[in-house]
Amino acid sequence: MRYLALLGGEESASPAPGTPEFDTMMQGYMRFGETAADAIVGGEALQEAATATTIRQGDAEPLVTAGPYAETVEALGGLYILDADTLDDAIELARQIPAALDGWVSLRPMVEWFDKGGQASGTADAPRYVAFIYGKETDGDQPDTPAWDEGLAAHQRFMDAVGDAVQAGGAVHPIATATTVQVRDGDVIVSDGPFAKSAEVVGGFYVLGASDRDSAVAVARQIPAEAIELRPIMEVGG
Amino acid sequence: MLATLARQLGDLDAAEDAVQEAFVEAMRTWPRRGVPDNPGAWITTTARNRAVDRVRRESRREAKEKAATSTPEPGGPPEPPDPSVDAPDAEPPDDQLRLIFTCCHPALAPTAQVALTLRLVCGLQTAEIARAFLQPEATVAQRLVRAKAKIRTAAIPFRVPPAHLLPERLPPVLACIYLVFSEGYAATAGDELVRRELCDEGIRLGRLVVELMPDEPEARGLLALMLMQDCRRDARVSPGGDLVLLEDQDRSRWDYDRAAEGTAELERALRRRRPGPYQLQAAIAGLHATASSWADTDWAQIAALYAELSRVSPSPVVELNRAVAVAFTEGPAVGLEVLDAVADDPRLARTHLLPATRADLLRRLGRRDEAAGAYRAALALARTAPERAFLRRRLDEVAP
Repeated sequence: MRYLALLGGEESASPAPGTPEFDTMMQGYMRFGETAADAIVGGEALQEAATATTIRQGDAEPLVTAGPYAETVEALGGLYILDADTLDDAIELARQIPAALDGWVSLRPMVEWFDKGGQASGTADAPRYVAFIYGKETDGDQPDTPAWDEGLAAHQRFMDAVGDAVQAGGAVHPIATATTVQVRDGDVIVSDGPFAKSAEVVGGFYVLGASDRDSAVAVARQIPAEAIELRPIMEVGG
Repeated sequence: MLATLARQLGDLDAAEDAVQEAFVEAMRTWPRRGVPDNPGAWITTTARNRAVDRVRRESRREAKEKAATSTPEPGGPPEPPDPSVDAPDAEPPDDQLRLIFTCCHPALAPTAQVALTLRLVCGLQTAEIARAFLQPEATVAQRLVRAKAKIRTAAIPFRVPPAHLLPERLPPVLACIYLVFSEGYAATAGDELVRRELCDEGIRLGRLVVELMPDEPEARGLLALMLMQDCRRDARVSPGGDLVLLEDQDRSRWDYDRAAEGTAELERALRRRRPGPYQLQAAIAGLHATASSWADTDWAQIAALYAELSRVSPSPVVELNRAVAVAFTEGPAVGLEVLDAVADDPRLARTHLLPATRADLLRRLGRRDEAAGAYRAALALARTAPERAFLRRRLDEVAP
């Protein structure tokens, strides 16, 4: 089955691009990409949390603000879609992700995942964004319920409406099924739940292609969700 | 039977439901048709048939979902259940061990691990678990539902982890077993019968793990520890229901067969020369069990073992116990120094153990006023009636 691995940690402790420490970190990710190539279905690195835009559905107009959904010390830095038979196999992969060493990896079993673009990279002219779904968890976040089916239909209408702007996306099981993986002093620490429950992705996410931030916001605000955090993707691949 | 069925079906919920249905079926048909020759096998076979029926009923609708959420066995899909073959009477112990490791998976919260183990491995009813832990039944029921949903949805595997994962996966299993035992032994409160059952279940689980993982000295150390504590169980409470301190216990009421069994297990564990927290605690319990009286106890050795325990698994509770041992070898004043070093630890803030121990040391130093204050603080925190009665008696002694 598929697991969404959300990568997080203290951004202030993370090395800045251009420094030798940053290169070392990136090499760690390259190594993971090679050793886990068979299990990695997808993955994106995110630009820092300060570049985020948050869209909250209001009574009339959506409220668009700069910054992430939750102002926390720990910030989301990237994600992988991992293919693994069991949670133990997923933990085995997660422990090798560099974020597990100084931050955390939160594993969420996925309900589904699609990738229309075949992981096409973005360019300076055609940047890409991840739109994470946040908000309060509701009955609609429980698969196999009428509320879930209604939500699914609404998402389908959204995708039909925006067409090629949606490149990929995934739906995850409720937060209660999350597992946090950290590695400290060589020991793997596995625990129940996400790292920060108050700031955990709910429902799922989309990968959007847009010419700029404003057009990405215009697409993201149509997503049927209480709140969306829009994060520009850091294009690291070839 | 649940463990075997769960392995065959790859689904705990389905297995549990099927077993329950089989019991209902038994209650309906046995009075009319008579009890079958082999009731255990009858239940297992019926449960399996019920599960197969259910899977068939739901297979069309859930075919896709099922494939995505079942937890396949490593090395192939689970063998298809064959309703024509009678199930063996006893469940293969390997399946029980798999079930324990699934219930105690670190991706489940420790409270959920204990509840699941008691429900699925020990077969306790939800209401019994709720009584044992003084929690509303609905809370325990919801915890069980959530934990089982997580096992299914997140695909927590139904297996004994491979050797390289054991160092990180065995400790939660042992911790869970010890928690089951301790809850029965040190009972925060609750039904006496349920508590006794918890102690027995803890020891039974301990034996099972030792039998199936004979090369794990800490598993054996835990079994030894439980046996050596359990040998004092009957002497811990007076006929009137009062808590009797180790110091005042009638040692002729100890179960020396249990203690001897514990000693034998500990010796076998120590021979592997991989000491750990359970073996150290068992060694301490063993020194108590073999001392002819409180005064003759080898306190110096106990203090040394607590110091080692503090080193390998630091905890304020260990330091508190070390303070008691040190007080006997080097005097209450030195013990008090050890105690004061952990007095502000937040992990001790809600237990009566810290003020109760402090009160005892102050009493022995003749600082009666301070002792009285500490006894009052302990009384405010003690939860069981025997403990409260004991503290009340001591308070009356120092502040008549």
